[in-house]
Amino acid sequence: MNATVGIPSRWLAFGALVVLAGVATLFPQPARAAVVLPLAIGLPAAAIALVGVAVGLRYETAVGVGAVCSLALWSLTTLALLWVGVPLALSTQWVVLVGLVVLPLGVLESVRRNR
Amino acid sequence: MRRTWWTTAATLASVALGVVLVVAAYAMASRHGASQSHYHVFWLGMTFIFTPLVLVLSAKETGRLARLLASVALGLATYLPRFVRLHTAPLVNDEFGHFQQSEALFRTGRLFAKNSIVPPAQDFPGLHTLTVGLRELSGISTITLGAVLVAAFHVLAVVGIYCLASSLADDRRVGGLAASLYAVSPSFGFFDSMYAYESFAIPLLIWSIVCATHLIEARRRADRRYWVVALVIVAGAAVTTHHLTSYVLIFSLIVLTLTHRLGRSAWVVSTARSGRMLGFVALVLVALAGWRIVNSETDLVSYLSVFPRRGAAALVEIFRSRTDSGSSPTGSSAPAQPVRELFQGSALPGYEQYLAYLISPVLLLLAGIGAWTQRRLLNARTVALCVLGLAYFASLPFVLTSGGSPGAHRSWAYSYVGLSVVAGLGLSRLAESLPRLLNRMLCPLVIVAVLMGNYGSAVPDAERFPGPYQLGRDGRSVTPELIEMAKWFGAHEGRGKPIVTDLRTAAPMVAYAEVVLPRFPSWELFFPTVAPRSQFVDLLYERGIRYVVVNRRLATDHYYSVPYFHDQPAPPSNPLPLASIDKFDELPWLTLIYESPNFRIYRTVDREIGLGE
Repeated sequence: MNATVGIPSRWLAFGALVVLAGVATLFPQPARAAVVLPLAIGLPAAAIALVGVAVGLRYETAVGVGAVCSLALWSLTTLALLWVGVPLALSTQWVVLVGLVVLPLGVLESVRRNR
Repeated sequence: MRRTWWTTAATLASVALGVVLVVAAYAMASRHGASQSHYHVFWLGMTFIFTPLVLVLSAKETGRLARLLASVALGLATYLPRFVRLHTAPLVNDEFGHFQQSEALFRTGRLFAKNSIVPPAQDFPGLHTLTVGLRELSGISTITLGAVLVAAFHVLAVVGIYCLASSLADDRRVGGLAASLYAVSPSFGFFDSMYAYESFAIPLLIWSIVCATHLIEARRRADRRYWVVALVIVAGAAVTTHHLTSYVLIFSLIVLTLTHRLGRSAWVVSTARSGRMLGFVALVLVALAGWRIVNSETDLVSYLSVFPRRGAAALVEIFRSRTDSGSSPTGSSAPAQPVRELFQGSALPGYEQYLAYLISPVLLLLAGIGAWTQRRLLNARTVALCVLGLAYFASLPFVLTSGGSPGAHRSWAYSYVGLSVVAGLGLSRLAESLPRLLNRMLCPLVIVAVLMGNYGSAVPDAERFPGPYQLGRDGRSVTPELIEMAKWFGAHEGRGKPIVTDLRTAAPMVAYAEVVLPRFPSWELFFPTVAPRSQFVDLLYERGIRYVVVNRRLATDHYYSVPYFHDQPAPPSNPLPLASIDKFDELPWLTLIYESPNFRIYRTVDREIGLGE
């Protein structure tokens, strides 16, 4: 019961945060950086950590793996997109799409199925 | 409940007081750097920060969340001194190189651009792509983002060691002590606090080892899938970020795979499939790293083997001179001094120097106890970490040599990954064997002593504290005047211009004006007290070099540590004769375009006019 109630609420929370991150890119500095930077790193990190918790990790390990994978994914996806010639501004939008939208939604779906 | 509240309040108050004292120490150092009082205030502050955090981490009754938060605070505390020292501009040579690489990547979007200050940085863009991606999205500057990222790297490294040791010993207390020991490792406080590729690569290495050790132990398919995906992401990022770290990572994965394969039937409880997966990942990483070596613009093998080669040669020379004549190897007959005089002319306080000698035996003792207590639970993870930790002791003889000591210092960021886990286990077992009060006091005492000793052995005064100008010394040779000149050049003459200047003036010029430093025998312009020979003037024109940037301090200040120019012969004197610098005003083929109290920029006149001379 908890799982069926919990997953949609987390799903909605993620959606709200993704929208916030998108809107915050229009904020003036330093508000833009203060909102966007933690969300850009934190959302993929939280998504990966949730999967870790779902497979039974200690939560500190899950949080750590989530955070380090988030940074690694930012680095690797930006590298890959720049390498194939995608301009930086466009590549960041791709990373945002993958990192902030597809990845969290994908892993939450995976958590739901695992349960 | 009441006791927990008091403990939390006391911990927070102590850490806050410690932060204030560290900031005060830096303020004192910038006002009167000659006395040592700022050192005493600094260490008082660090003791106020580290003691309560280590007490929280080493106490049996500490909860999971409190221990995790204390690890996070410890990671931030280790970055505090460098953050207070300078976080609004690059400070040391390598930082200028990486700052420039990220700035250029952000502006052009072109990967693998040439880097004149840190040549291998152009082949390992992991840190720079991370920076520009987040910068594009958040809109903050490279230098501010760099400070945020380095703080995050520190936290991730300390929490990584905490997780690694906790799972290995199945004891969070051991995890806390191992994290504390890594946090006080020699290079973590300053060298790994630079905005540089290794600062990002080290947490990637630690977490790759965490993933690999969990993968080896994974029994369920879902767990294996999770850990192998995480390992591929993290290790993949490590390989694209830093050369040396990726080789240490590959070595660690191979040791893990081999010990797992060899020992499985005897004493390792895990599945064969996990081992095969780990071996496969290691092979893929070997292929990737090999491909980077082959395709690199820099000769990585020569670049990385410089310090080990020099160190080994010096050790052989020391050994020979002792066996041949029984005389001191520092005798005047030697062409270069192979032995390094530890703390010669050092401004460090005596207690740091004494502790620097003491910590290696203490760590050996703790690691010995740790390995001994684990002997019945020996498995692939323990063996791999012991092998990594042993590298620390193997590196110690190199510290005594002039050529090998920089390499030894740099290796400690890696060997401490293994050493801190095994020694953390030993410290935990040793503390448990003591009466309650001593048990409580031993851990913070050891950690603070190791911190002081490690800073004493690896963090020079010039890098740690602000102070008087010292030409050519990292941390003391970059002035606002130099940065202003570099920015002026970029704004007025444009970016990407080839220039000739000395090595230490070059770094900020590359970072702020993105100048190019073509291969040129610059000493042929700077060393003579009369006009340079015409063949070198012709060469200057041939190579398209239009600017000569002159630091007048070359003739007024002693040049520390490094040569003036790459591949230079011995200079006529140190400092150079004043005439060597003043002659530039008289050269008919140069026009003065910028002047400040210590710097002058000259532009070459059109070739036709120059030929007339």
